[in-house]
Amino acid sequence: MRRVTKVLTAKHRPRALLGLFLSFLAVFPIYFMVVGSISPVETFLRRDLGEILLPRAFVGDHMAVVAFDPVFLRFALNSLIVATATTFVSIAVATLGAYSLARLRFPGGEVIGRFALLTYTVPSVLLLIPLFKIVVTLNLANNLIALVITYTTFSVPFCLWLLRSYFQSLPRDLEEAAMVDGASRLGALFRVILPLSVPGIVATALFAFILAWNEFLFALVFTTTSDVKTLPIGVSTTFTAEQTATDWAVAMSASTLSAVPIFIIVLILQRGLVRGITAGAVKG
Amino acid sequence: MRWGIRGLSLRNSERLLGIGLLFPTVALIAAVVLYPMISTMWLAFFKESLLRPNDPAEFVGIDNFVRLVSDGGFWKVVINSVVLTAGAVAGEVIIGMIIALAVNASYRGRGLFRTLNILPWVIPSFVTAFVWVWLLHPQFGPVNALLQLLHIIEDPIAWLSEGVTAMISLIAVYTWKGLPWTFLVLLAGLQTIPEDWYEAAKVDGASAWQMFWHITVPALRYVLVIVLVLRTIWTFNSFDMVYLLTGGGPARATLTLPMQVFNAGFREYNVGMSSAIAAVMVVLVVLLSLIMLRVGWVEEESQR
Repeated sequence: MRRVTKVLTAKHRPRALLGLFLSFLAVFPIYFMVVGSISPVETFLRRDLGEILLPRAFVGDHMAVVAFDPVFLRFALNSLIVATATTFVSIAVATLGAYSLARLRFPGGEVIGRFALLTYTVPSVLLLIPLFKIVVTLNLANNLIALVITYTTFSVPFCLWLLRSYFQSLPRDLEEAAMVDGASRLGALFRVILPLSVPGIVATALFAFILAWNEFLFALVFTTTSDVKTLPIGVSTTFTAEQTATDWAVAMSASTLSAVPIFIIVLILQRGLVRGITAGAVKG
Repeated sequence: MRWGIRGLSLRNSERLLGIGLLFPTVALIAAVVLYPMISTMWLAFFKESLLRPNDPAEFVGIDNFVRLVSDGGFWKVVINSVVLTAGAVAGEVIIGMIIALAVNASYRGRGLFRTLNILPWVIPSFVTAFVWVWLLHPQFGPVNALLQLLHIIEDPIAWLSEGVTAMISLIAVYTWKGLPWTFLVLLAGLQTIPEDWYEAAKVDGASAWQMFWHITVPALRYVLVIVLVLRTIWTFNSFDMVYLLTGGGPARATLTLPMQVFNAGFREYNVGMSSAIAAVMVVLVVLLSLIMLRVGWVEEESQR
């Protein structure tokens, strides 16, 4: 026990190696997925671990099957529409709210901001039946708008807090100078603050995009026809024939392709993603 | 006087603007979260079918709850939820803490390491489920292949089709998916602890274990509570991976509360029962949220 803890707390070079090893453990299922999607189908049959890790050949058949499947493309397009719309609406709503919380102090504002965060502790299943009834009443079943409104609500509190801290980091003098020059509050927000906040807004927008791209439960209940299904529901209902090795290769291709936008966002944001994801839980 | 009035009206107009700008946020949350929440709590006292929305709901008092409590199957579901949540959160916090302690130093490639590590947390849950159903597949899965290669098992195990192994698999997958967040938050917390505290303790002859218990844990108290509470709530509330990996089966071996809320509502169309189960979930979640807020506020006050 003593030796273990010593290794854990003392400054050590092997830490880097340990870190890399553990990160491999964390990523290996995703690595398997990506490699599996371009492996020959025999790899799935032979179960040779070496071959699964490093296939002898790469093939694009399964990728092509999925990428040119009009059904899959429809799901992908729906996901793209929903996630993009959610992102834009969330940023619009959260920017206004965040500016209000950052600069225009009024009684109750702080409390509202905190209660907005409580949204994340509400079990989604709790909202299912009433929301389903509303959606049916408003004739929004099998309509992507229902998803956009729901996802926006769940991404706004997070965006609100990220943007608020971003706005707070900007000096007040900038707006005050603009206002002395005759700009209104909103004018100062749109002409001075927003242009300066583009990096923060982009990072926040990508969080909203991830949330909408990944959402499963509400899509499961609000969409039943395949012309409006998003990737999570579409792929998991269409590509699940787990009978043959080919099915598995195709399923891995569909999974990999569905995760591509996420991989791209991770590459773009890198440390910013890590900071954003842990924001709020640790102050400072 | 003039100045005072002008100043006051300026402040008032700023307040009005502030309220106006926050209004869309409040309206969305009220319509999509608050109203449905209250509605569900209300519906828990009624008998209603989701298939016949036009029939008037019949008030049945606490009937739904009485039937739940007297149903042995329901307690099994509660226990499943608790086991899954406790198992996954414990796994995440213990493994996350070990990794965080191990890598809490700067070294080459640290940025890449953290970026890669975030992947399980941000990929869609259906992708996670697909990958793990394959990894655990009795016939094609690499997990069995590895265990057989190491002679830990003789024959392939059908991980997801047997009660105990299905629950173990679920805990493992949830731990895997939640680990990046837990690890990163704990690491961010560790980095706020000044290095000289450890130096001073070392001078006094403290062992690594003593330093961990008397410096690291107390300093991380706030972060640990947040991590424990949030991960507990999120895992407890989680629906998608249970639905995708086991569907609550085999039999009812991995049936959790969120799955049961969904089943009662959208498979049995029993609005009252579904709402009653959801109400039971809320009680626990509200309790945990209050603890979280209280700890958060107390901590903030002590910092002022």
